Amino acid sequence: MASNTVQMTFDRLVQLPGVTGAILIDGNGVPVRTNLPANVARIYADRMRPLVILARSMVQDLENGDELSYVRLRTRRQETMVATENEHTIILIQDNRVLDESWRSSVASRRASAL
Amino acid sequence: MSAEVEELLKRFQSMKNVTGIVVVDNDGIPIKTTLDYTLTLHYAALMQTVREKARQVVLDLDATNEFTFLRLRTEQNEVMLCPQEDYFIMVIQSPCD
Repeated sequence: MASNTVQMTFDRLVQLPGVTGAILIDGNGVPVRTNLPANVARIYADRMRPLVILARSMVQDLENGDELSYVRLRTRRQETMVATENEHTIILIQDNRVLDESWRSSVASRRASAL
Repeated sequence: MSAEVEELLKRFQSMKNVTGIVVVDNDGIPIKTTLDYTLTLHYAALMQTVREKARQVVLDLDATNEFTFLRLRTEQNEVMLCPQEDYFIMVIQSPCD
């Protein structure tokens, strides 16, 4: 079973704006927790795994000692974030529009406070 | 590449934290780069593979969807990849948290 820290992180991430799906995966590639249907979660977990493995080996190839923090894959409709820590992986699926909106508003508020 | 894209690349270049920009065509040949040649070839070859894999992943999950952008965050670097019709643009920057 996943450690409490990872569980708490997962619970926090699910609250982010625009999150339409979240999956917590253990070291064996099995979805442990998710708010999506089990078969959908399984498909995402299986499909994202080779991409993350490839990205990780690429990063290590480019710079020794560097380590992959996360992958953000943006498509026309949604953005998928895959974060790997130790042997757990969290996949987050977010809606593009909500994500862009919250990014824009955070930039705007930063500018406002700079004035 | 159009003048529009050239202008965009210049803007990226002048941003703080940006350490490199590479434009690679669909055959994996770098067209334009701000890095040294060896490093450019290295990045181009590796990102070509990642790009194809990412495109496959997106199409597998939803055939009507389309891969538009990829961000790889590592401890020391951040690599962003934006695919276009005939080429893709890669921007490398150091993260500023």
